[in-house]
Amino acid sequence: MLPEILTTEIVLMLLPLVAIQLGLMVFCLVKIFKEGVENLSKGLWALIVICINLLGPAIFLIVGRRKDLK
Amino acid sequence: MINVRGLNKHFGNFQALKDVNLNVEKGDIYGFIGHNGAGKSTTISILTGLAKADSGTCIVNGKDACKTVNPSDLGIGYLPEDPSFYKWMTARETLIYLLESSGKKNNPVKINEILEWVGLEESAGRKVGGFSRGMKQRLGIGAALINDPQLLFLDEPSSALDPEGRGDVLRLIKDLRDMGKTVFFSTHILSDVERICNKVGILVNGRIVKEDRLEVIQEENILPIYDIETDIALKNNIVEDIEKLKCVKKVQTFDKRIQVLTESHECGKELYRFFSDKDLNVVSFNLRKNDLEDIFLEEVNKK
Amino acid sequence: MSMTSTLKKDFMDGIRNYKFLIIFAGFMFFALLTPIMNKLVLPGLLKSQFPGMDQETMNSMLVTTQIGNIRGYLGDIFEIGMIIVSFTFCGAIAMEIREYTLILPVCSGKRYSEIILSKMIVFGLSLILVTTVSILSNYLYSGILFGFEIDGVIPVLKAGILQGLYMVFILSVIVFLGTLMRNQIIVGLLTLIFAYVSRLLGNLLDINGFTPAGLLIEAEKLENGSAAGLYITTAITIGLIVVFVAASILKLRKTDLTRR
Ligand SMILES: Nc1ncnc2c1ncn2[C@@H]1O[C@H](COP(=O)(O)OP(=O)(O)O)[C@@H](O)[C@H]1O
Ligand SMILES: [Mg+2]
Repeated sequence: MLPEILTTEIVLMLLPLVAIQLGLMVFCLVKIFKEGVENLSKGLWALIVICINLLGPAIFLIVGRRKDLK
Repeated sequence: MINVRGLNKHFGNFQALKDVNLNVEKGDIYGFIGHNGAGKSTTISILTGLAKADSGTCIVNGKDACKTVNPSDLGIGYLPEDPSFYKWMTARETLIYLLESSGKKNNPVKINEILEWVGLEESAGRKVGGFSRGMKQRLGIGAALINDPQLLFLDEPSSALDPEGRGDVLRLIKDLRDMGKTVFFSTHILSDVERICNKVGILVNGRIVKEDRLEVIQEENILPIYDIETDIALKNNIVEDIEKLKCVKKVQTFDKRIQVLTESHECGKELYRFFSDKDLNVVSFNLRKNDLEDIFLEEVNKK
Repeated sequence: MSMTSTLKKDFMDGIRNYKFLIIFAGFMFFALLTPIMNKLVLPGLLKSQFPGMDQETMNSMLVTTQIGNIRGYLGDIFEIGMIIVSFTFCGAIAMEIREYTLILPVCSGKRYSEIILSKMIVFGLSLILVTTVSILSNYLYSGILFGFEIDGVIPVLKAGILQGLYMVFILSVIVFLGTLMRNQIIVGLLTLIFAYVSRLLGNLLDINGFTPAGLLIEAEKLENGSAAGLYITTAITIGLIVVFVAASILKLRKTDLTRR
């Protein structure tokens, strides 16, 4: 948005935030397509995980994750 | 081991148990028979100390289960109708957790013994959430044995299983009998009872309608009827000869098969002699018995 | 032996069912997000919306201090962090009763008090740990972006622990509601309603100093040392936690765990 503000320092500071977001998202997406889901369809859960920041993955891990596995 | 007198239990206006009396002795394999909704699970949850009765005494293992607060004080093992475990634990972790719940230390040798006994040693490291119904049932039986109880309550251990799973469970119950344990188990599958029990109680709509040793019940229900089958249809004059025998009351013929109503099953000898004297080829010769199914239905229909 | 195994089991539950992960990620997310929003995103947004605005007016509309940032973070947590906490732990007891998972441990000798206390200890400590680590990260981030202005890290640590204690209180409410009803979603919703309404009522009646929500208000002050009022608020909160825990144990003891 404002490239002149994006110094290396700021980028470094943004990193953990992006890591939490992307990390959770990728972690959940892998779970959705590798292990399957409960309550809603795979596509819907993927959409929720991608579109709803933070709360999406949280909701998925609480109610959408398949628990009768392994 | 179990002595229940005048047990009553209401759910709102509905009386689930009506003056239930039971008596189970040490070493018995007791079959608690009743159709769905008869009150079997309700009775067992009271006897295990998990639920409270309205009135009555229930001595279990020398203690009054109707009054105990902690089910574990009764020193029993219990397999619920649909045993629930933490889905996220493995079978081995589940058994360790239950063993440690009693205040004992983890004992890997014992845990392995149980896993092996119930045939789950290969799946011991898998999460219980992925177990089949039969595997959960076997894990449940192992869990019931974790504190070495002398008395076990098994609520419908074989009912929800396929024939193979049922066979596994019945084998385990036979093992329990051989270990000298007392087993109280409920079921509506009567052939299972006939295979392993020595005593039965029949519960109909919350009331005990019959309780006795299995052989006594079977004895009482032997009918003096013989079904005899021959390789060729019997001629009329031979049938008349049979009817002339002293102990025979009536004969009905169905092609190659005849049905002989007698005065008592002492008549078997004479019938046997008759057929061998006449040099007739007997294919089968059966004393007809009411099986548990018939007895049960008869008791249900009396009500 | 039995208590250790219960603690171990609840710890495993926290890890394998991602409860710890969810609250850690949730709190950290807001801790790191608020300073960055306030420094990078919001000024840019204002500038593009009102190109002619002078710096002074803009500053009055923006958060420009470290303290302002930490307060903003604490406010976010009360609004959204509470939702995460409620729904992460709403099944703590409710689901155990609903799914009949307490029957076998209880038959094996597990005491009702152990079951409740272990959850309070494991999940409670994890909440205090997470609130403390998160507020420290927030302190660090906002300090780097806006300059450090708080006298040492102690007030921040104190704020984190007070917030954690408030969350432990919420946990005791969740556990107690879980012994009353089996539907975990309803437990989560009721907990949220309880938290928001009680804080609102506390504001209206001006009695927040005597309710657990007073801990949050105290935390937002970010002061060194402790006023007498803080001791009262803390004592009341701990008292309420003890009451809810005791009530949960008594209720669980009377519950028919086999009821279908
Ligand atoms: N918690 C309850 N509230 C109301 N009725 C109940 C409850 N539990 C059981 N019942 C009723 O009591 C009767 C006996 O139930 P149960 O003991 O489960 O039967 P069984 O195990 O023999 O199938 C049933 O009619 C059932 O509907
Ligand atoms: Mg039943």
